[in-house]
Amino acid sequence: MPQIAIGADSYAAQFATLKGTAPAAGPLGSLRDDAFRCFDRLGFPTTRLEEWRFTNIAPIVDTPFQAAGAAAGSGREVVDALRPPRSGGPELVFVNGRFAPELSDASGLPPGVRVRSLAATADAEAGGLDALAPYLGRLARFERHAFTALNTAFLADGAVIEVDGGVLVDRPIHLLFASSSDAAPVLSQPRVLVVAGASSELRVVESHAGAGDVPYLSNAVTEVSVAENAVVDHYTVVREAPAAFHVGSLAVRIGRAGNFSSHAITAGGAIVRHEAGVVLGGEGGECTLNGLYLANGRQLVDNQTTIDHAMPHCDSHELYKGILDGRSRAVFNGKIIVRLDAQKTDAKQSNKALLLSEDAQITTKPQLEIFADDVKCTHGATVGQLDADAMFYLRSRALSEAQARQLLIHAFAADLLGHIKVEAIRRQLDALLLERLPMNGNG
Amino acid sequence: MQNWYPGDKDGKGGIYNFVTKRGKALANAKVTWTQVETGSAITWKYPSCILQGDNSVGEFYSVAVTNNRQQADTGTKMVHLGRNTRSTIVSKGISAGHGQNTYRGLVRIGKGARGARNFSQCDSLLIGDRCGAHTFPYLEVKNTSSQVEHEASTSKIGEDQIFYCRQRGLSTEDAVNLIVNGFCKEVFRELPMEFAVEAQKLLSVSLEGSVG
Amino acid sequence: MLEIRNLQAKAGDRQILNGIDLTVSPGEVHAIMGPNGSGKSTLAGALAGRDGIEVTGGSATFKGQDLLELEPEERAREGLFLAFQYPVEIPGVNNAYLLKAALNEVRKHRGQPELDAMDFMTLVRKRMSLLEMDDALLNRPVNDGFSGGEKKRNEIFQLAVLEPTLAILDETDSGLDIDALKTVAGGVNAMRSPERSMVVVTHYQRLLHYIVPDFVHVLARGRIVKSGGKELALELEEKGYGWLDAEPARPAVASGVSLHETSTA
Ligand SMILES: Nc1ncnc2c1ncn2[C@@H]1O[C@H](COP(=O)(O)OP(=O)(O)OP(=O)(O)O)[C@@H](O)[C@H]1O
Ligand SMILES: [Mg+2]
Repeated sequence: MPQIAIGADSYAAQFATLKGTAPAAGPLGSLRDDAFRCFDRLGFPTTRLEEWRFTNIAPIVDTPFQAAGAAAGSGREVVDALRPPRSGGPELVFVNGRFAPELSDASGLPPGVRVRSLAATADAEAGGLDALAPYLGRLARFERHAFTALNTAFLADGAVIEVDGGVLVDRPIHLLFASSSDAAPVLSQPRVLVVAGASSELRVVESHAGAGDVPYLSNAVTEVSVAENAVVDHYTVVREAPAAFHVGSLAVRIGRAGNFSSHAITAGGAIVRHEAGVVLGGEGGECTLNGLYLANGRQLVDNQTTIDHAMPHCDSHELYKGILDGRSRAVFNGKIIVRLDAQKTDAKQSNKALLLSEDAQITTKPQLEIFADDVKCTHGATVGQLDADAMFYLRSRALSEAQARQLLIHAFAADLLGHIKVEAIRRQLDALLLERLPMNGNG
Repeated sequence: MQNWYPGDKDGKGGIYNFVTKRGKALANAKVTWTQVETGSAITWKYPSCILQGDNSVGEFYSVAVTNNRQQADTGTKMVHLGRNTRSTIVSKGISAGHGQNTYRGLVRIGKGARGARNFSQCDSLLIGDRCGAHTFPYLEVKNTSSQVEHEASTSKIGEDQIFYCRQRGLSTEDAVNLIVNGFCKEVFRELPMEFAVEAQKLLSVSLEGSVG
Repeated sequence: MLEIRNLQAKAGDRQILNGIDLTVSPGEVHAIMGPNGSGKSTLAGALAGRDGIEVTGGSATFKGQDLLELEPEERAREGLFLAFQYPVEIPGVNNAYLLKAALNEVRKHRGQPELDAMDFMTLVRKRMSLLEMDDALLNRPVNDGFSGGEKKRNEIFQLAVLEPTLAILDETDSGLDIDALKTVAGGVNAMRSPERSMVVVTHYQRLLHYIVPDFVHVLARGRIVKSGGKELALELEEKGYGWLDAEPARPAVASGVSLHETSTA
């Protein structure tokens, strides 16, 4: 495989240093070793790989990022500026991937719920990570994924959410990952693990945000295990700094009659890639993947989804919508696999893009691999501009051009907004949609 | 409405039906093709629209049913030349027995067709597991100010669906008619009232004995 | 209302039900619980007359008639309603249209006049508010593109419109979030009446906090291995199903032993 791994070399030295200064014992140590070996073998992906064909990450490969150390960088002011609105639930703050207890508040949780940092979990009791071993690094496979391997190789901290069987968490759990580079470009590697017990219910909001003009790379991995009959509603809001890069992977496994929904909102960052991979691993499971991507200027937003129907009678619903302006580019790749045994699968996928300028571009690719014969799969893709007739109609009813645009853009996103159950996020999105609408589409 | 002799159970003796139809629309004009294809052993039929004038409109609504050994290969071409031209394609293919149904269509948006729009919907319904449905949508867009939407689905009348209806109190025959007519709704509502009733009857005759 | 005696059935070519006895009297709510694959859906399917489930022995009478003799639609018209574990999608068929056709079949059978569109809509609106259903679901194709929760709600909505005498709910609670679960349970409770019986099949004890049953039965390996009052559900929640393996199965033919006696014993 002719893969180039220019940037990969510099990480070998950093990995060696890590092993020297902060070695991890036991299973975590070997997990890291395995992951680094994979990263070293794979190198960064190139556009020769089908999954990366339209996403050139040369700017990431060519920047010498330094893995963030244990000392949290930014202080309270920076974090406060990045803090999204909250809905009163607990909030854990991570700065460059490291837990910042002084900025966090994990109080007010019902019994049977544990929300803590990975480092704290590892220290807590002897074998604190043992309970997590079936999930940590197991749901997000790194054998064939360089970025996940890189994250796992440097795995030291992150958020761990455990909910016992039958427990209902009524307020959303907020996680804020704030990143910024001081002098040298920083590699920030957020990590999240959610283990939802049988018949439990919870809502998690992940915000990724950053500041500063020096580029940083936020390389995030989230693993979610949804046990039998559990309900997990997950939100990712990516608003990185304009010069920053974000690569995120969400890996989910759903048990029998489990229900998982994801809402991925990707807005800020020079290159933003979000991957969601879900395995429907028990009968009667349900999965919803929704996404809203906004891009402007020369931004590149890439959404990759994989839904693996491994068992019968599972439903998946997928709706991604994009609003592109300026010379931005977007990629959507939606893969649906229906395994031989997964009869009575019902999978629906739709990707819709709204191009606000002549120079914006979208590449969209549904990819269906169906091995069972009694299934229902539909996919659709549309690309369009703002409806000129509707614009004219609204303006002839006395709305300004800007108002008319706003109204139509909001209407385009309305069905997605309707699915968002966290009021604070809906408000944040409303604001985002407004602020993102320059009058002239050449940002 | 085409109902030529389809041949016997094995397709022997049926009519071969090859048809070419073209409509040209000048400025602000509209061409609509609506067809219900239930007969013939083999049907090849592609009623097409050349949308030459600005603001012209082309529509194609089709229901094609194949049972036993019938084959239907039908679709349309929508050639957009003028500005703001619009076209709609709704194709419903129903296959039963060993029947084969193919949708083959082309949407071409020329360089000069600024603001052109197309919406295509191609749905296939399979009854039983020895029949087939095939969809070949071709799309050529030479213009960035145009908007093209395509939707396709393939589904199967399963025993499940029929049992569900029966569990709610409907007979098997009513269940099949309900499901088939529901599937064809977007096309039937384009037909004049008396014609639509006729088409529904023709459909249930063509599909007689295909279930249980 | 419903008398099941030593019912045995095959699904495909596997023997699944090995002698089920169950008596359901008017107004009673019976819960049937049991581990995965124990035969709960097979029992529900056998009672509703599903293809592919072959009754190989025993009997089932419904309001004094031999249930097993009847076609599925005849059972439905007699007032047996099955809320499906996996409600079927029927693209293109309007939800309201199917419901109206179904309701009128049932009414015809009862010797009642068919409802016109106006009266039908009045009834439907009333029932929809019961289940907090979105109006739009009524005019969408049956279950097509519905979320899991919407499908289950739609099943109970149909129940509320068709007003059966015996409702069998097959895992109507699975995969629901707590709000949807409460709504569905509320709908079911509103339909409880002295004339109407219910058999609630569930996997998860939580539902029984909201729909409180008169009797609970545990199905394992194709037999009812334990019956009791609602406290049995709590016991199951605590101990799981494992401890039942040690219990002897109830005798296959327990004629004369109605569940009232079993549960009060
Ligand atoms: N058509 C069939 N052919 C062969 N085996 C079948 C068939 N249908 C069901 N089974 C098997 O019969 C057993 C009982 O199935 P059933 O669906 O009744 O279980 P259940 O108790 O409802 O389980 P669940 O809790 O998973 O819904 C299972 O082992 C299942 O695999
Ligand atoms: Mg079942």
